[in-house]
Amino acid sequence: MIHLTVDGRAVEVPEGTLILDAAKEAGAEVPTFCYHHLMRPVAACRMCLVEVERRPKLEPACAVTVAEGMAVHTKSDRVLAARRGVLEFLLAQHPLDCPVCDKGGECDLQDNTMNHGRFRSRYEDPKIKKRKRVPLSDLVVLDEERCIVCQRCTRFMEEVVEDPQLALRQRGAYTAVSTFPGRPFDSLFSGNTIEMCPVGALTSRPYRFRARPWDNRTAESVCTHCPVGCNLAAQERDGSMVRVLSRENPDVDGGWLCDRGRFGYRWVHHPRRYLAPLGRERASRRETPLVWADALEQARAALKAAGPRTAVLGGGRLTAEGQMAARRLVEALGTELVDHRTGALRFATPPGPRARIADLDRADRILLLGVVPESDVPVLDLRIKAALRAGARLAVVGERRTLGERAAATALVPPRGLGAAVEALAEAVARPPAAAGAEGVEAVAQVVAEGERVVVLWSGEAGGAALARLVQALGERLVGTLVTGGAPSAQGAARAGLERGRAGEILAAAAQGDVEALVLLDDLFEDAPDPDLVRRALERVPFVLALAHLPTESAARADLVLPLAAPVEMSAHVVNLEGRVQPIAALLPPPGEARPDWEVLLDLAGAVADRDELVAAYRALPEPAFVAEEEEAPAPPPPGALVAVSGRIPFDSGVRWEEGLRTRLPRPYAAVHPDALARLGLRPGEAARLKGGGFEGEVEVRADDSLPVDSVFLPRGVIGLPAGRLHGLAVELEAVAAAAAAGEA
Amino acid sequence: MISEARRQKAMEIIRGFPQKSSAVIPLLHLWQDEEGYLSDDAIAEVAEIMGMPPAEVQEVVSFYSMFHRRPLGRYHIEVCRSLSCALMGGRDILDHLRRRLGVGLNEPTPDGLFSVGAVECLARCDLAPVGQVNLEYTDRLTPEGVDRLLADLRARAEGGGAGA
Amino acid sequence: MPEGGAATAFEPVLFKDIDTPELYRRQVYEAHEGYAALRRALGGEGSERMTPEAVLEEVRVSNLRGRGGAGFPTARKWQFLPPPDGGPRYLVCNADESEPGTFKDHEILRKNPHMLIEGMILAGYAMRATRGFIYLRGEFAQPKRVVDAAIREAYEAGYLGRDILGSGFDFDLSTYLGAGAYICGEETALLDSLEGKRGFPRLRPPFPAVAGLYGRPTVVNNVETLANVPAIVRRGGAWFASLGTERSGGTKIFSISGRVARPGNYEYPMGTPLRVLLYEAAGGPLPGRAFKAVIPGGGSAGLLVPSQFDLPMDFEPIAQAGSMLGSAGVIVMDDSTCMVRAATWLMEFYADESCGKCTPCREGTKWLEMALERIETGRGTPDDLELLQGLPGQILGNTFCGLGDAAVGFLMSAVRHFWPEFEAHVAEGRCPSGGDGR
Ligand SMILES: Cc1cc2nc3c(=O)[nH]c(=O)nc-3n(C[C@H](O)[C@H](O)[C@H](O)COP(=O)(O)O)c2cc1C
Ligand code: SF4
Ligand code: SF4
Ligand code: FES
Ligand code: FES
Repeated sequence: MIHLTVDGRAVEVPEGTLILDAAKEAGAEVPTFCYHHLMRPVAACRMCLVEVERRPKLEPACAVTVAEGMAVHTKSDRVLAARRGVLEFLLAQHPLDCPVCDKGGECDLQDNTMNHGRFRSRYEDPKIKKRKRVPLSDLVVLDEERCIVCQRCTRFMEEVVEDPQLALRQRGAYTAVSTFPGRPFDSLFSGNTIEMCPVGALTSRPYRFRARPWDNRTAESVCTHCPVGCNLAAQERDGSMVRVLSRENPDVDGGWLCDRGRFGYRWVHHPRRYLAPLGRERASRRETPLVWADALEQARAALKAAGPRTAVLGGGRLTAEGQMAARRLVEALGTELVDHRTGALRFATPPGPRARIADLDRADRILLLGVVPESDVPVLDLRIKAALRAGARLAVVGERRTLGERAAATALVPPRGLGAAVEALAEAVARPPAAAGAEGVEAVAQVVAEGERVVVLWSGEAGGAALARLVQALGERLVGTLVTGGAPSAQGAARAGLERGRAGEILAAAAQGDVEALVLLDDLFEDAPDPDLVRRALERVPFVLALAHLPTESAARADLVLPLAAPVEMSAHVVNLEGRVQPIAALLPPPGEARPDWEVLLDLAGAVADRDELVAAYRALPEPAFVAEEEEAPAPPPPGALVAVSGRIPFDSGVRWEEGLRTRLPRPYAAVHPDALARLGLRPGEAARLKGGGFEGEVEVRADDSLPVDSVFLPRGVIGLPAGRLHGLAVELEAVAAAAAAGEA
Repeated sequence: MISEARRQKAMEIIRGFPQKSSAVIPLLHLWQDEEGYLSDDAIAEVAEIMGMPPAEVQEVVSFYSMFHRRPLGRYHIEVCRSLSCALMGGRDILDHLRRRLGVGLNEPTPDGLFSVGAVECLARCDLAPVGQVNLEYTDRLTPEGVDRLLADLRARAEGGGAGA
Repeated sequence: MPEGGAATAFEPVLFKDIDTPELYRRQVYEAHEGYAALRRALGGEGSERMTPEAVLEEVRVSNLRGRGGAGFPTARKWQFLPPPDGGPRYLVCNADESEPGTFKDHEILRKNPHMLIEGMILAGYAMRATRGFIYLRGEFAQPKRVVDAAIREAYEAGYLGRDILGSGFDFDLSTYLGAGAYICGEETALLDSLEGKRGFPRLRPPFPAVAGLYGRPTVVNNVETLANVPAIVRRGGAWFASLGTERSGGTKIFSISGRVARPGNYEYPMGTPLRVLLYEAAGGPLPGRAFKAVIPGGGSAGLLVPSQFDLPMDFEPIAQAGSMLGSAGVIVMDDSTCMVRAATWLMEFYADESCGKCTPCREGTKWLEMALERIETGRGTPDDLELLQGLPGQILGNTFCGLGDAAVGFLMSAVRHFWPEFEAHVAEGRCPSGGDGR
């Protein structure tokens, strides 16, 4: 420990502590601009200068570490003069548009001026003209005149995202932040720069002029767009959600949000939200609003009649309370026709120990099995990069390359080849190390086998039994596995036992007429491996009940719809991929008569319980056990064929409910390796006809060199593109005649 | 499109450094020497060869005063405006040139023949006032000398001669 | 010596043979004791091979101090390097020479590149560097061609490359051309620039000696500093030390420019009085003129007035007089010079060259430039005068790197010595000096 005094007060802090933090410890607040606790100091703004006895110059508290016996002064005349000087300089070129600035009320420049300025503002000087309202993307807008060149935004993109789309332009007083002409700031993490900009230079386009921070009410919530479960602060004004901010949880999100999470909140105000229970007559498709009592009555009667021949599908988007209530319903019905894995997820539970997100920080090897972090668990992409910077090595097995040259070894596998590759990997790891210069799985094995703290991220889509063997081979060296697949709270659904059968088989049975009632807890179409099968099942089952927020394709086909409250409309818990149970607090009341999921499910089960009981019961459940399951080997595709591989994308058709993300709405596309593009005679951006597995449709062609040359990538969750069904099948891709393309456009 | 010859040269420059990143400024010089200025395309090309995001290459370009984002005159005449030269009349020469040619700084004459720039101390202050024509030094500038220089350059251009 | 000769008797070191025709060619340089030090130290010619420690010891004894501006003892800087770990170590020659009024390195590079190259090889040997770079400012395309040719010659002669003169020492050397930025003379900004970035000064620690170029141990030395090393090795550190003052060994090249009869580079012993430089070397004022003020150390230094002309030109005495020896660029102003104008011109330079990283320099230089321009053109107000009194103190000592202090050095001294001129500009709404305004 180091002993020092700050303004005469003695403090003791660990070696390596910044003067800034030591001062805080001593109760002295040192103002800052450029310093950000999640990034390396740059000591550029000079706001934090303090006096250190026996040193000739003032020192930046944000960059200088403490030394034994140091005497620091944060309020001496010299310090106060320097501070006033810096503020005065910053204000000299600062525009006077605070009244119309979105940052008003939470601007560090305003706050620091209020607390430390107190100088009469000096003479008006002609300000240097810079550009105002420069749209950097559809989400972020820049005001160059307000920028104080703290470099937080550029450093974030360079240091944290490792994708420097933002850079400084010019020098001296003309220095400004910018992108390259014609290239948008389209990073998936762009929104973080808005939050960390200390002034109103970077602001949110969706949030623009919507509210002033002091009018906003905040509730602590959790993002439910992906399984990471980043902590966030949701804000509303006059009953309308206005924005989402990060609520740093070092164990989960490390202080960041991705743009899907940050900008994906307006769906709760979509005009087509279900506000009341709805009955639908199949033949006429006529819809009638119902009162809850009647709707529940009707539902209970139908479910009771169907009993064990009721299927319950979905559940990976429910709250933990809802998942427990669903379990009660399943028990009451005595049905085994239950599965939350309606998409590509096959194994929600990993063999061997589970990992925690924070284990990544201490890992020396990170192994990705079929996971593309940026798409599947975006914020973990940043965490993995940080771990790699700290010295961990990355090994990748997957159908797509990911994290580029950061991977020490990559084994690219053909579509549906993950299981076989993991099998080979398990064998290779168990063998003595291969000679240097190994490739593919052998190279991956080499990287992994040298590790002492291996963390595995697994899609859970294939290779369960093989992974179990790999886990065994790694033994003590494995820290644990995180399963990234499935719906955001798939881990909670698994723990609550909502996986008694197989969604595919249940739907097949339903399509055969073997199911009498179907309870839909999710939209089945979003991730469905086979949308046709879903369609047939929904037509055949006599009673379809949907619990839903919005008229999804499934809900729009149900006989009875019960409206649910959104996560920001209830106080409950959600479960993330670690199995962490995180509380969410209600920010808004549910619209109309929508109700929390657990209440509806308890009512359906005819059970009574309160929230605390449900959560306690959830926590008391044992960890689900891994069940090894045989997987059929995929039929080898015809030689030379293009084979489809599907995967998640950050902005899928779910954004159709988000007014702030309209521009991100994906059109069906197919990505192929540039070499394959050339071979097919296609150009990026062109329209092409995609054929295969009984599907035929038009897609936009994109180039993607992360793929093997004989694969076609199809995004999941895009309406009009059955990516899941085509996954692993041979497909054809041919140019649409230019004229035809023009005609259709 | 980058010509094969230039790509070769670029690769040779890159190989000359222990780390690739160092090659970006030399490559920008190479592009500017051959094209006269650095267009968006030029920056994108250098970015591609360097494997750098174009925003970062642009950052480098915009920081250094010798890189130009717009075309200059065929003869770019620069005059030092720093103290030692200014004490000996350097700024008067600069004004004289701009009046003669009727242009702003770094703005080519309509015929594209000349442009005028102001530069900081060129480390030849003993010969003040100092200037450069297409980066070759010229010194002890006087208004009359500058007029002669313009006439010579014009004659050379009309004679179809190469640059300075 | 350039024309004019010097009455002061001493042995020149750097300019001993400077006006020999074609000195930049290896054979000519060799005919003037060139590479003798290298052959002796590394080749063992005429005596035993010197160890790297022995070379370093000579430099230590020589009292050689950095000629880039700060006057840091050169041997001490080399000693900061950690012990070799088998990885690369770099010696970077700072040939950015952008300090207004400084043009000494330019002459060495143009006329005697081999002296620098020999110095770099010896320095590299002493610090066990594996590779050297010469960072030339972007405008030095002509000197670059000369230096590149000399480097080729040195490779051909076996002075560079592998196992130099059988010593087992490997050393590669190449030039690098900047692209126009004064800040890249600051050694850490130089390293960023050499790594292909904008030239932003770096946070220290870590110091370049520990983590410099590409994060590896690095020494940055000025051209003139390194060019002294061959003579030190050849003649001995004690000899070199004896040429200068007690604290600063050797001679110094003074670049004299501005309003003097014979501007030019003049080599004199360290500690030579300023008056000797102004009159003996540079021939006094221009005809009919009288000296008014002199900047002794490049645009970044505060001015000295005639009553201070007897000060010895050495780091400490000039610092004590409130200025600095800096790069020893001596800029002379006479009775035709308007001090407000001079201050304006200099502030334009610093505002132009501020890298933009830190607030006081980025904003302060621009603000001062605008205020000075108003005063200088007769549009100044009493408020502007107040800015000149107040803002420099808000910059001085508070910036990230030395450029901020440099930017206000001259202004603060001009305000101190010539305040009535500033006031008169505002009071009369024009430059009161009349004259030609220079
Ligand atoms: C703003 C600024 C500009 C500088 N410019 C130069 C320069 O042009 N040439 C130079 O040799 N040193 C320059 N220096 C000094 C260098 O940072 C460094 O101290 C020097 O290169 C070290 O070499 P030396 O020890 O041989 O003097 C500059 C320093 C500052 C703060
Ligand atoms: S835009 Fe904001 S975060 Fe970026 S440098 Fe400017 S003030 Fe800092
Ligand atoms: S003082 Fe600051 S802005 Fe000025 S050059 Fe140094 S770091 Fe850049
Ligand atoms: S907060 Fe310390 S210098 Fe900016
Ligand atoms: S001031 Fe013009 S060359 Fe130095």
